[in-house]
Amino acid sequence: MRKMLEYLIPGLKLFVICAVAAVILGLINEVTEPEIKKNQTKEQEQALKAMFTQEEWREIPAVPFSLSSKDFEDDLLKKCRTTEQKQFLAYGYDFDGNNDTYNLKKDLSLDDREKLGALLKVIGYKNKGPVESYFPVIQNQSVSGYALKINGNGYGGAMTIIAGYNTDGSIRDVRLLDNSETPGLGKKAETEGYMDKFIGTGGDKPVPVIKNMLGDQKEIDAVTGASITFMGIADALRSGSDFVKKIEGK
Amino acid sequence: MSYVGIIITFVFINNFIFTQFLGLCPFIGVSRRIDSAVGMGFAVIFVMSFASLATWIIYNLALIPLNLDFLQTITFVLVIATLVQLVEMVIQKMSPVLYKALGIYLPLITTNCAVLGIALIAVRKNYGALESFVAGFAAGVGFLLAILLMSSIRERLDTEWVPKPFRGVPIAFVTAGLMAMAFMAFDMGLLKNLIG
Amino acid sequence: MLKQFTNGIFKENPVFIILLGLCPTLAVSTQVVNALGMGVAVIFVLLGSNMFVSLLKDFIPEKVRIPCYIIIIASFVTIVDLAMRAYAPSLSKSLGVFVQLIVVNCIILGRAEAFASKNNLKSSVMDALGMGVGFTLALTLIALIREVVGSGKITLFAIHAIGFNGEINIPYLSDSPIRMIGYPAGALLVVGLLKALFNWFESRNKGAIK
Repeated sequence: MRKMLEYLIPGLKLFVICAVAAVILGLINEVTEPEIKKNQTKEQEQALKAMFTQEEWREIPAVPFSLSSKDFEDDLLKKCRTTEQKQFLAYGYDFDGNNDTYNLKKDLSLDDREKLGALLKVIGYKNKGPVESYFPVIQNQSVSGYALKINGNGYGGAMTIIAGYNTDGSIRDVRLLDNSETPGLGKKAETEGYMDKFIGTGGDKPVPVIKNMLGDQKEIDAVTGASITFMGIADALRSGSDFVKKIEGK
Repeated sequence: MSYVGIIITFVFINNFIFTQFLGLCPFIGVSRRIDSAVGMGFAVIFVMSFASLATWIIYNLALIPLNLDFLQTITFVLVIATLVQLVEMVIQKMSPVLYKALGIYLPLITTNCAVLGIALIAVRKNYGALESFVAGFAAGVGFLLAILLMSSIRERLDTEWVPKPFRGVPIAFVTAGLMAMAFMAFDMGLLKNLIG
Repeated sequence: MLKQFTNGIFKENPVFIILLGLCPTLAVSTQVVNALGMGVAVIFVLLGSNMFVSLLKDFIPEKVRIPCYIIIIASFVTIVDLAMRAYAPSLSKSLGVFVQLIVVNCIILGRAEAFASKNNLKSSVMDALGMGVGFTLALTLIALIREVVGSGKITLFAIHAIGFNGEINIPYLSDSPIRMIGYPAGALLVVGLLKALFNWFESRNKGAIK
């Protein structure tokens, strides 16, 4: 009995300290959580507002355009918990018997797309493409462009890119946000004018993804020594361009 | 990321000692002799792999569903401390010889930034369970690699003449710095060339 | 009282003399602003943990004292982490995982075990301040060298009110800095050289006293 108390009392005291700590932290978390959430989207919003003059933005998570029927069943249907979820999935995707694939309906409304994206998030589907989400630009009640949030791979690791596209897939503007590129080399991608080489490409003109595709020697020199950063950004932008074209059904 | 990519990244490109500075305390302290270095290295690999897995489980199956991710720091540290304690008990029971050899190093691993470091990094990068385990394993291997290279050099250094102010720790740091420079050859370019 | 404070800065400076807290030192010493930010965070955690360990030293059972210290330290680290993410987001992003890694910073656990658990509140507070300030000074020194030589500038806290974006450029160095010093390898070299310098000072002092 004595031995048991010897272990029990320290254990209880430890538990008390734990509990008090958890409660205090919970309170602090309550206070700081809203601020933290705001900070996460602040940089993104600033980039969006700098590119387009829209005030209100809605973020639509990217969903796969096409899945093999096996993937559709394993990765999506099986993860649904309610019949409503399964029905909405069936509504959003059309089955193509010839290729045994499920394809995203082309004429879905923005509301439906947003609901579908939210559904996939809820059931825990992990997005595989570089495009994470997109923000439609609405002018006179019709979509005049898209801003995309793309995850790129740079020299120092992951990069977050916000890129503005016209409906034909051509690039309007690009902002490089989070990144760990080398100061003096890859980090130069954050400076004014770096992205000019991409603007206008993506529609009829392909996005330059290797140095040789860049127009003049000056531009080639500018990315020499930081080609991995350049290629990472270029790959991401090209994926974005393809993505926009797919949404528009082209 | 592919598993090969993860391994190359954490063993070479983002080597915990030479690039990320995680795990320096035991590194400087234990790297004077090759056999102690190897022992520490293996212990670290074991703990780091399982710690990454254990913390992934706690984070994704307990903290997130319950909306408690602000308790991440506390729970991770406690999980690691518990894991090390368990490992110590198991080794003590199963192989007293091994226990004696590793002895003091095991408790030291608890406060080793490398273990907590890889757990936190795996979460930030959104790795899955197996990916976290592989990342922990690879980071441990990177640590072993660094500490093995370092101890071989230091054993030689101990028999050479070193200017008085540099003896002991300073020369170890300078050596590590030179090795880190060599490791800079391993960068993203390597990864891109190897696996495209 | 003052002696306890200066002890942490000179005689037992955590970074240069006892070699504790190495990991964050090297990683965040790329910019002065990061060093200062980390220093302030560590001072806060040290203060909190030393205070509470000292206050609770009779309540904490000996058998489980290390886990208790860890919980107390981890709590303060979490507070600092949340506060930084909410009110100083750019600093939080620059420091990254190293904020959370303060919890395994040997300095803090070391002081809790070696000092705060055996001394009264006032001395513990002074000890915490001394060690914290000593750590901050050492870290800032390394960062100053690395940033000036490695990037040719000094980055401080931006004060938007007077249009100061935080960067001070050094005319000659900012055009052709020795970039290696700014890379991880350079950090190891700088610390090695500095430690050798300190050893040399110490041996000269000892010689002088003789």
